[in-house]
Amino acid sequence: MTDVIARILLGLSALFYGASFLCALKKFSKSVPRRLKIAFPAAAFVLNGTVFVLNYVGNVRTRGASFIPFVSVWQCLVFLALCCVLVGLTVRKLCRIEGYDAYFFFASAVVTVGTCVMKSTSVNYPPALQSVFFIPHILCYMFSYSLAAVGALIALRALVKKEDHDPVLSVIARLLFPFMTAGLFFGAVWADQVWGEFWAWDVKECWSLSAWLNYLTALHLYRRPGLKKYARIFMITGAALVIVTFFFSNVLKVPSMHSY
Amino acid sequence: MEKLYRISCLVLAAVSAVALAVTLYVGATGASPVAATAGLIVVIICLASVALLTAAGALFIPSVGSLIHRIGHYVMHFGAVVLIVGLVVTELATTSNARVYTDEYGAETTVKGDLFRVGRDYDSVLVGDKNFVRFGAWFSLDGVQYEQYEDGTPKRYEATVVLKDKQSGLILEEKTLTVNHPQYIDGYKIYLMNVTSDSDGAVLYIKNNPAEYVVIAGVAALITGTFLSCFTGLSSWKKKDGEKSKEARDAGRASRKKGGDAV
Repeated sequence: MTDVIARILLGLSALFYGASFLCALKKFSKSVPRRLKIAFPAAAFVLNGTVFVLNYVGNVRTRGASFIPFVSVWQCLVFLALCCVLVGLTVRKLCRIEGYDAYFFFASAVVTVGTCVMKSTSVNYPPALQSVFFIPHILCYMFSYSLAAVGALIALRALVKKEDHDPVLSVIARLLFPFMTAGLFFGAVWADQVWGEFWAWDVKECWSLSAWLNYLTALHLYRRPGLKKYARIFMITGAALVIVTFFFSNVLKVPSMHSY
Repeated sequence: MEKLYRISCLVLAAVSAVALAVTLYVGATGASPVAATAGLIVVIICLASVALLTAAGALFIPSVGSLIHRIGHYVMHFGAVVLIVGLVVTELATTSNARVYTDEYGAETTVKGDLFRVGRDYDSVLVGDKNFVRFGAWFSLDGVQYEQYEDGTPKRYEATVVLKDKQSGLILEEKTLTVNHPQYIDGYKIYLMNVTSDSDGAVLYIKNNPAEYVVIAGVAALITGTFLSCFTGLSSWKKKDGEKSKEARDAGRASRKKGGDAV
């Protein structure tokens, strides 16, 4: 029953994210009333947030444990969709990056559609996850993944339409990289606490290191005026590496210490 | 104001460097985990203070932005070097009771830890190929607890280990191990890896990594430096690059005379 309710809410949320995306497009932006531009994202965010809260309540009721619902890929994706909007709003206010809302709504819509389609899993909270590093590790990664998704979309547009979005992409890379660094190294310190080693060359660890090195390269390219134009390629490959990191071991059932 | 800020940062950096040196020395010699922990705490406090100063400086001192960016740059790269050194020492100098088994096809499997039975007293544990850890007392597993969810998946493992006097049998030290919460005994870090289904034994992984604190200090410096370096200077983007970006995009659109489908 909860699963059906969650899917209905996520479906509606995806619709509203889609509507928000259309409203944010320059083509329609002027003709859409301002209140709709606020109402659609707000409705999508509330519905998406409700599913997140339902997941949390479900954990407490069925397992008697109040843990943040980041345990399965599905639960993480529900939060990722929220993150895209949260990060979009923050970026818009703090860095005054205007005219890029559509990318954040598009990313949220795609992720929410994904959560509607994929099997919702609600798993137990195993001993290995009961750590102080669990929440910061996931939070940092979710923030960086949402920025990676948006960065890749903007970079793709810059490549296809041959537009100059490098200053915005540079800011996104600079916002993304510290969170990815924190996520990666919190994970390493956590691994030492749980498995007794900082790094195990596990398949997911290797892909996450590749993604981190990719963005490290992008950041260094942005520091060199002559090489800036190549950084956008790394913004696209970075998102591809993030997707592989996030889904590879889980979807393809590759043996990994990080399968969940 | 700016001078005061610079002096504070320099003092903190100096204290941090001294504390790190102490941590390195004490951690490498394995003389005192308490001193190493204290050194590490000082390093972390100094770095956190630098972070707080940075936030304050960025808010109240306009000229501090580029300075913070530079400091972050140095801290980040210094942290990366410390981390790499720590990882190399970890790789070379860690001793543990993990063993590598090679099967008939040449595939290697690493098994971490040994099975300890409840109620038995252990005098020593084989660590590495030849070395024994000789505890100054009997090392004993006092009890094991295992909880599971309704579907049978594990919920919580817990084991209690004690050090008992060899003569009198009195308990000298008692530690509770859970997954994610290893404990130190005689300078060795002891991890609970698994428990037996009948709760009469537990697999304990025993490890001594002299560079553990160095790695953690490197991680702390790297993360702090990355945030300092990347998050400062974004305000200047607002005024300069932001406008440039918008202008560049508009110019790009106008030159191609396409328009219509722009985001």
